Amino acid sequence: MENLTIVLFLSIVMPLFPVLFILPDKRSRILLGYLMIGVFVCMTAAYVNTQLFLVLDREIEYITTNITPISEELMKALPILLFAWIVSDDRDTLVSIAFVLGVGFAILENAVILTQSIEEATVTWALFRGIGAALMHGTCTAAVGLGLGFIRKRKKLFYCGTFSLLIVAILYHAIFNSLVQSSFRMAAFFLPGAVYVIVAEIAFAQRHSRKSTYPEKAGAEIKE
Amino acid sequence: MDHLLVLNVAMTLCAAVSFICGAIKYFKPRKPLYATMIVCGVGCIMFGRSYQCVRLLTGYPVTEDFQVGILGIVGAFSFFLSANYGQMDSLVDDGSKAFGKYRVVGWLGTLLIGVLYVIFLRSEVSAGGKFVCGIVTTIIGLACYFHSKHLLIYDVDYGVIRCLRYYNALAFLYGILCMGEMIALGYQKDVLLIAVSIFMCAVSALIIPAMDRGVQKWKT
Repeated sequence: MENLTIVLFLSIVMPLFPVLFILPDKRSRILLGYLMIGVFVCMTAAYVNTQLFLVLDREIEYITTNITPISEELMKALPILLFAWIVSDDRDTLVSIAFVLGVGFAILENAVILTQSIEEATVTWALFRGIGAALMHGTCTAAVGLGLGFIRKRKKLFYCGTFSLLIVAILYHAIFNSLVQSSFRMAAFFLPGAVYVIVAEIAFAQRHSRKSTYPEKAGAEIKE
Repeated sequence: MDHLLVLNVAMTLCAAVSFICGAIKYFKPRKPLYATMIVCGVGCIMFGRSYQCVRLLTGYPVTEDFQVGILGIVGAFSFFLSANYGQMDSLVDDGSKAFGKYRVVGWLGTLLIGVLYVIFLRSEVSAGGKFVCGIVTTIIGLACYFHSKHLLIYDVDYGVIRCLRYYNALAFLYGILCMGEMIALGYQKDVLLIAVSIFMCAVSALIIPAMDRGVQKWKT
């Protein structure tokens, strides 16, 4: 079972692949594509993290709370950076695809963790892990996507802002990983929920404000 | 209870109060991006300290060569640097010789941070720890260049930076306190650590109100 991560990756991605050609509009295809990229990034991260574990020669707790948040957030940011650079730097689109990529990442991560600790798996575990990890990864990647929106418009803000938001994402990820491995596990599942509600409220208010100010620009970046 | 945990909890709470006040006011549409970035910086302080609290509560040390909590300081000063460099500096400094003396003042601020790092280097911290703190010092030093420069710069055209002097003074002080904390941990001086932490609590709680006061003056 040494290729279990690849098996899980293919099991998740292969059923989604034909859907890409069925979806009628470009926006939906991009979102589904980035969900699949998220799953791929998670598979890559699994190998990179294993190599880091071998190279650094530290205990697993140290690696998962200090090193993997950095490596995973950097790897999740790369496809979003490419999209912002090549396709579109529209902030709403970037945040959406970044969130979806994070959720894709969480799907494979949950599947891998499930296979590693199958005896602990219950419906409650699935419920909390499913919501907690998906919201955490989604919010972290969306934060980085927000900074990447400045890639063409304001270079100074792009470099410093993206770096700063990446650090916020790493810290949030590290807090989640620390809590999930401790006796405060329940807090790890409520924290992403609380943060998601606040972030979603802010994002909704800002999007609503932009649409009411510039109705002609709303959703204009990716035309169907 | 471990005094390090108590100090980190206190710093988390102070930063959290400041961050929540700022977030309620500035995480809204059509608010200045500059203010939003400062609030995000204080959010980084809160997240970094929260991580250290969680780590201490779960029985792990925070004095290793590298732990993610230190990124809280890096993130905070990156936001402060980003806000000043990306948004403000070009409004008051066009790069001409007339502003040369203010740039020198800025570099003096950075030099002070550098001197504090040299003091830290003489402690018995491992080479890895010194390297990590060197990276943190670089970010603090760069941010402090703008904080000290904007403290004195003659801002005749717009007056926007003059309003932010209290904020810049507090942010510069926070940079010095971060270096003080580094030195206290490096030399294992508990009294210095407690004193620095108390000041850090106060500064992190006051930084948003000071910035808010300045931003309010932009409208008048």
